[in-house]
Amino acid sequence: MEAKNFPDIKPNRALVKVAVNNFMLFALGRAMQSLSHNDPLIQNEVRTWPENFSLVLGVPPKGNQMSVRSVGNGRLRSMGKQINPEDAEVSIQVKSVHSGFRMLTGQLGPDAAYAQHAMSAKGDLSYTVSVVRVLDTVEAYLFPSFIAKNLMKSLPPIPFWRKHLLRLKTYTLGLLFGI
Amino acid sequence: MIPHHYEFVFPVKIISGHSALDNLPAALAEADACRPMVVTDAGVVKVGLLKVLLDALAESLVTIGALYDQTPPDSSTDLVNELAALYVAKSCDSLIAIGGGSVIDTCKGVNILVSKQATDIHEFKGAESLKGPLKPFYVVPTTAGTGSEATSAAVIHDPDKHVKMLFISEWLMPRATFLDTRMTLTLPPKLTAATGADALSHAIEAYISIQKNPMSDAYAWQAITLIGTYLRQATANPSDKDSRLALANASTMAGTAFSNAQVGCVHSLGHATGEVARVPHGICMNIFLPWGLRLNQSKREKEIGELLLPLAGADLYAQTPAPERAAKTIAEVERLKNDLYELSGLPRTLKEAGVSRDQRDEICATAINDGSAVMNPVELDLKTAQLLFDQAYD
Repeated sequence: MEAKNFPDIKPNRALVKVAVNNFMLFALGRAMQSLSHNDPLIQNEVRTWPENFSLVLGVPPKGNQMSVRSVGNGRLRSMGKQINPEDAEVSIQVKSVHSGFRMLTGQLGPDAAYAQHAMSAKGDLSYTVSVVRVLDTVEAYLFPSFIAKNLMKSLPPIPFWRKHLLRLKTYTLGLLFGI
Repeated sequence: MIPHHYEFVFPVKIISGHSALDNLPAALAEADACRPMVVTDAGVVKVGLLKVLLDALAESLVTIGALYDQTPPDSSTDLVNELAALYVAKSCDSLIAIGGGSVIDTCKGVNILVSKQATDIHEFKGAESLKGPLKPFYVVPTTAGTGSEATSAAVIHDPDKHVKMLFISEWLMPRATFLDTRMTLTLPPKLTAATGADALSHAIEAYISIQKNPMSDAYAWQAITLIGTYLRQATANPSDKDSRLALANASTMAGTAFSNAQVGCVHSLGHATGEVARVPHGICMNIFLPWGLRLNQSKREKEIGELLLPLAGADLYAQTPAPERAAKTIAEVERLKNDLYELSGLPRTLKEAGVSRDQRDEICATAINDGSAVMNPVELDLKTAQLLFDQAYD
C-alpha cells in the first residue's frame, strides 16, 4: 500500500452557485440599504439596534459576504466586504455553499435555516429576532408573495401599493445605486 | 413527518440512581482527572448537599483544587472570568457544577475560558462557533427543571451592558450528569411543582417546535410521560425517592429535547415576565403553557393531540375521539396546573404571581424580541403577545 497510489482529492467546485450567492449577497446588502430609506417596518426594527451596529452575512470559506451598518434614524448602509466578520456585532456564517444558495434564492427562509443548523453566528445574539424580522421584510419585497409566504411564518403587514412601488424602486435604483 | 434536515447532539453520560454520586471518583478517573474545581451556591451548602458530594469522594484519589460556593442566582461574566483565573492558579484539571441553572451555566463559561486559555468570556459569545473539545466537566443538578445539565447553551449576564449573553455550542455539554435522588429530596413542594412545570414546558414546546425532529420527540415524549405520572406525587410527598428520581430523569430528557429542538412563545413570555416582573421562571412556565398551546393549536393540532397519551395515559387517550384530543391535552395541562395550585399554592395566573397590568406593554415588547420566539410555529408579534398576556392574567 504505497502512498503515491492514494492521491489527494481536492473539493469539487460549484462555480454557478458561488456566482449566484455572490450576486445575491450584493443584492441583499443594497436592498437592505434601499428599503431602510422608505419602509417603516424595517426602520422601526433598525431603530432598536445600537447606532453603528454592524451585521455580516457570509458564505465562508471561499464565498462572498454582505454587511450592513446602522447609521441612525432607522437607516442601514451596505458595506459589502468592508466590515471584518470578527469585528461585527453579529456575524452570520452560512455553513455550506449549497445552504447559502438555497437561502439566497428563496428556497430556505431564515427561520428554517436556523432550524436546520444551516448557519453559525458569532456575537450578540440578543438582536437575532429583530434581524430575522428585517430579513423577512426584505425578502417579502424581493420575492413574489407565493415564494415569500413559504419563507416565513406570516407575511409582514405591508400595504399593497407600498409593496409594489418599493419593490420596483429596490430592483432599479436600489440595486444599482443603493438609493 | 421527517424534517428535510435536522441535527441532534447528546454526548452526555447519564449516571442515575438513589446514590448515583458514589460513581463520581470513577467518572473522573475515566477522564484522567483528579483535581476538579467545584462550583456551587450558598443554598446548596446550607441544605447539606455539598457534604453528599464530599462524602462521595471519600477514600478516592481526587483532591478538590478549589471550591467556590457563592454563585449568585444570575451568573455573570465577571464571575466567570474570575473563576477561570482561579482554576488556572490552582492547577485544576476538570470542573464539577453542583446546583441549578446559574451554577451550571457559570461552569460552562469557565470551561470555555480554561480550555481556550483565554481570559475574557465576551470573546466567545455566539452560536455554533466555538471549537472544541473542552475540559472534562461534570454536573450534579439540584433541581429537576432547568435541564441545563443536558443543554448546549449557557446564558451569562453582562453587568456592564445589562444584557444576557448567549453561548450555544455542543462542546458546552458536560461529560457526565449525575441524577442523584438525594440532590432533590430537600426541594419544598412549591419549588418541586415550579421546576416540574418548567421541565414540562421544555418537553411540550420542543415537541411542537419548528425544529422538532424524531430524536428530540422521543426524549420529549418520555419526559412528558414521567412528569404526567410523577409530578403530582412528588409535590404531594416530597420524600418519595422514586418520584424524585423520575422527575430528575424527566428534566434531563426534557432538556435534551429542547436543546435539540428549541422552545417557543411560552418561554418568550416567561423570560420577559421574569425579567420585567421578577417572577420565577417555573411559575411563568406554569402560567403561560396552556395559552401557548392554544395559540399554536392551529398549526400543531395533530402534535398537541398526540401528547394526550404521555400526559394523561392510554385510557383517556383511547376514550377521546381524535378531533378532540388537542383540546383535551390542553385541558389536562390546565388540570395539572390546578392540582399543583391545590398541592403547593403554585400561582395559576399572572395576577396570582403578583404581576401588575401596568407591566403588560414592557413584558410584551420584551417577549417578541426573545430568541425563543424564532422557533415558535406561530409568529409572535406584539398583538399576539398582548393577547396571551391578557388571557394569562386572571
